[in-house]
Amino acid sequence: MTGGGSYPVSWQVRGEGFDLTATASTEDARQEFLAPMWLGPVAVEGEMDGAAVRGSGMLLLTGYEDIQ
Amino acid sequence: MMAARGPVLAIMILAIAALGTATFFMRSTGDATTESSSSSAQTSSTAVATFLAGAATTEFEPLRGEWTLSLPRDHGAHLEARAETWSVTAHLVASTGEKFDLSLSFARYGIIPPNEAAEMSTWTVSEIYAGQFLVFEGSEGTGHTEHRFSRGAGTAGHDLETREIWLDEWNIVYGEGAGDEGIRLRASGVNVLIDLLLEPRKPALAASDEATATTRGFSMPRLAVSGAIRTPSDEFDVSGRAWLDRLWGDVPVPGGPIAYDRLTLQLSDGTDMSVIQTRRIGREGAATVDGVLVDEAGRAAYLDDDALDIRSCKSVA
Repeated sequence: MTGGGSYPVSWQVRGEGFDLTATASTEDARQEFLAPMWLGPVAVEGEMDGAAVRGSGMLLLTGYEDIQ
Repeated sequence: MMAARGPVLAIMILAIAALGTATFFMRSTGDATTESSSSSAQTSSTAVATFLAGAATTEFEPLRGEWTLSLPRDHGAHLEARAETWSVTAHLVASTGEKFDLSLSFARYGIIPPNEAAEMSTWTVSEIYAGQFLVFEGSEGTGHTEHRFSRGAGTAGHDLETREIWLDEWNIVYGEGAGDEGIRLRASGVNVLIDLLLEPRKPALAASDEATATTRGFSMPRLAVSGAIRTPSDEFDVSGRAWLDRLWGDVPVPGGPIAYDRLTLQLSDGTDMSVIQTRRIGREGAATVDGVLVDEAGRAAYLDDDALDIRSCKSVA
C-alpha cells in the first residue's frame, strides 16, 4: 500500500531569536504501521538567543507517498 | 509575533499523535494485509479489520462537561473517549557512550461505547489496542521496529488502581516515584528491550484552554530519563530526555486530505520546541505552520505562521 515518495529529511526552523537546522540521523525511517509515514530522529544545530545550541529531536512526515 | 494560546493550535499539535491510528483503521477495513510482527498481532490484524468495519457506524458521544488537566489521573485511560493515544519520544546516551533514540506509542480505539459494552458478552470486542515501538541505535540510527495489536481481553488493557496501561508485555505505569510524577516504560522487540523511568522537568501543557473541549490532552515537553536498554549483546545504563504527548477524544477524520510534518526538538540550552506544518495532500495551496517554544523554566510561547519560518533543505526518495 505504501507508495514511493520523496521525504524532506532536513529542515530549517527560524523565528525571533532562533535559527535551527534539524537533519535526520538516518534516511531509512519509513514506517508502514499505522499509516505510511517517515518517523525518525534528527540532530539539531543552530542559534538560540545569540548562543550556539545543539540538540536532538524527532521528525514525523506524512502525506508524501505516491497516490495509489 | 507570538500567538495567543489557542485551543485549535494546541489540539493540532497533539492530534498528530492520533492521526496515524485513525488512518490505519480506515485502511485496515479495506486491506487486511497490514504487517505485524508478534503472534498476537498476526491473529489480530484480520480481526481489527473486521471489527472496525462495523465500528465506523458506532456512535461515541463527544466528550462533554468541563475538563481541567488532572495528573497523574489523566495519564490513565478515558473510556468515554472514542480514541486515545500515549506517545513518547526519547533521546538517550549510555554510560559507555552509545546513543539511542526511541519512539513508543500506544493507541486505544473504542469500538463500543462503555455504557453499551457493559450489557454485552465478554466475547464482544469493545476496544482495540495498537502499539508501535521504534529504537534507533547509534549515530547512523540503525532501526528496530515492533508493532502490536490486541483486542484487549486481558492481553491489553488499563487499570486505574495500579495506574497501568499494557499491551502484551509492554506497559506504561504512571504516578511513580516522588510526587507521583514518574512514568515507567517497558517495551521490547526482537533485539531490544527498554525499562525506563521518566520524570517531568517542566510543567505539562494542556491541549486546550477550553474547559468544554471535545479533544483533550497534554504534552510534557521535557522529562528526564534513566534506565536500561538491553540488546542481544549488551545491557546499557542510559540517561537522557523525552517528550510525551497524550490525547483523547475526537480525532482527525480517517483518511482525510490533510497531511502533517512535525518536529519535536530538545536543545542543549534547555529549550524544547514543537513545530507542525499542516498541508493538503498533493501539496496544493499554502501550508500553515504552528509551534510552541518552551524555555528552560517551562514558560511556553505559542508561535504562528508570522513567527515561524520553516523550510525543507533536503529530500530523500
